[in-house]
Amino acid sequence: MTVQNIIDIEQLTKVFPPQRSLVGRKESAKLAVDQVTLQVGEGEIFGLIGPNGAGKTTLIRMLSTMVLPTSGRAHVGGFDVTCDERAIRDLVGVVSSNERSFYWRLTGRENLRFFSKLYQIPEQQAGPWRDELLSILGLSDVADRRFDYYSTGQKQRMAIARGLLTRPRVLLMDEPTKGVDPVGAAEIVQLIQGQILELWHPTILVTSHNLSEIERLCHRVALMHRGRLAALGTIDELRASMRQSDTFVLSVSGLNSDVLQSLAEQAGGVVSHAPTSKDNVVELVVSFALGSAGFPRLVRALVEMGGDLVSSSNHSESFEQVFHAVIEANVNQTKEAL
Amino acid sequence: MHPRIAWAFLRRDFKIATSYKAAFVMQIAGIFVAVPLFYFMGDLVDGAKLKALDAYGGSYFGFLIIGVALLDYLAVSLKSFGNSLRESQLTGTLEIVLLSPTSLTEVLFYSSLWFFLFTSIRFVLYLLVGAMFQLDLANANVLGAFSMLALSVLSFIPFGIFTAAIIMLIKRGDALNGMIAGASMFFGGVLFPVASMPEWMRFLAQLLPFTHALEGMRQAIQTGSGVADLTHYYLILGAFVVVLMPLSWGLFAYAVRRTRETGSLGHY
Repeated sequence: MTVQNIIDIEQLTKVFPPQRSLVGRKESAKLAVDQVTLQVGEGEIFGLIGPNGAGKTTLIRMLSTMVLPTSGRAHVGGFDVTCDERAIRDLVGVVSSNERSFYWRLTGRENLRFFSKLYQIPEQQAGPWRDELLSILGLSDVADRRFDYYSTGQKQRMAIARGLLTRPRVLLMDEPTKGVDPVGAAEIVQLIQGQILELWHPTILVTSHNLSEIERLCHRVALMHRGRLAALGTIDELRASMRQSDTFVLSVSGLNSDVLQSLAEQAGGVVSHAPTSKDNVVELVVSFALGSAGFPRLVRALVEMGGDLVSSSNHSESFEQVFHAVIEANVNQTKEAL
Repeated sequence: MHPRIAWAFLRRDFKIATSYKAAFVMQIAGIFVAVPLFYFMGDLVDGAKLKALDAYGGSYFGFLIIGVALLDYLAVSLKSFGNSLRESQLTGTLEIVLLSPTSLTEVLFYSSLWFFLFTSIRFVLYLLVGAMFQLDLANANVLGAFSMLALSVLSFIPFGIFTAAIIMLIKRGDALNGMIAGASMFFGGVLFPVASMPEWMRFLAQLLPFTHALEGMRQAIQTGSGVADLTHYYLILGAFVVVLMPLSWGLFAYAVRRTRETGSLGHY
């Protein structure tokens, strides 16, 4: 493990043993995480994405020492998750999406006070920090209200506040915006990007189903599917790896749509749908094979034909398209293997 | 032990308990209903002048009230660890509590403090309300009673830890609780003296720490036995502690390890 990697996972596997009941069928063992290898650098914000049941939460639970791995190894801050649980718990903060993980009959402030004692933070540090957190998270006004009267967004913010109580070097966030409305979710993302990173720059491992959130927050992501690592890299790398063609959007004046489509096809392009025309400007979406010289050839041809290129842009796949492409490729790979 | 953490747990559990106002008041008020009931039952039984009660100063009222009050301690010892665990599983707080640097053993211990404190308050109330109904406490040996109580609770705790371990493993421990509490109530001499039972029942009674704890406690409160007179009970209860405590913690450690393997720590 290099000094920069604060999370180091190698061939980590978790198989949940079969469940037996007195009557009915015996459920077979469940492979939740399958030989995952990845590293997260100190101070990095790393995204873990994947459909339900992909193994993201199990991975986080292993890193937080709640679940023991079946095989492989994982280190957090140089400590082994199987035998250095105490040291890891000193290092890690967890933001859970489970709103039941608070004492509902206590106020928000009482909850935070209890957890700061449990985390053994000296009161002279914990008191001002609690107030600051409540203020940063916009919870000061409701801090003395009983937790069961909080809105979903407020409960989620409280979970973040609790995860930050110890100013952890590593913050494991399991779907921090789950159940929160889009405005509230955007505020939480903003909060992570803003105040949390400004305050002490922890390493953050975050899981989410919301891909735009992950795209805004993370530089690197791991995409998990059926327990396996389906893709790993920066979002641009993933996008590039899944790109099968270069797609351009062109706006051209001085040529009609039929001529423009014909020129595009002669240049080797594929026009996915008919060009649209408005105010004598034709808009065309055309794709060329990766690395082909089709696009410059098309531009030259349309200028020679008397057309005028008003604008052009390279159309890249959305992160969501990349996500679906990776999952699809993974499913196909699995089918082929069978 | 961290006093600050212990205080945080006590404060938490007190606030939660008192937030259920009616239930909290009823647990206290119940004593004011039960004690007069025991008094009239005692009055009835004392009329029969039973020889079996001579060893306890001849008062069935005192005999019964001490039996019921100590049974409260047994119940809380059996339930507090398992109930705290089960409640944390149900409310979803268990995993998050265990993510702290405070160990599960400490968490369990701190979680039971409020229940023991509340039971102690109830125990004192039983005696005080009993005194209002002519419970004779003039002979009570306070040091003897306290020392018996401490050792009794210590000898009950392993059963609570066994229950907590079983709850971790199979998610339910009520049956074990019910068995131990029922057996202790029947064989332990809460309602009638052990000496009045058939021999085979007396043998079974000797296998329960509760029987010895209750006998010692009655000796201390009803006949004024001091520390020196209670040595016999200390030795027996001490032996239960020495044998059962490591066994219970061993099973508990196994249960924790097993649930981390199966990922079922927070399951219920």
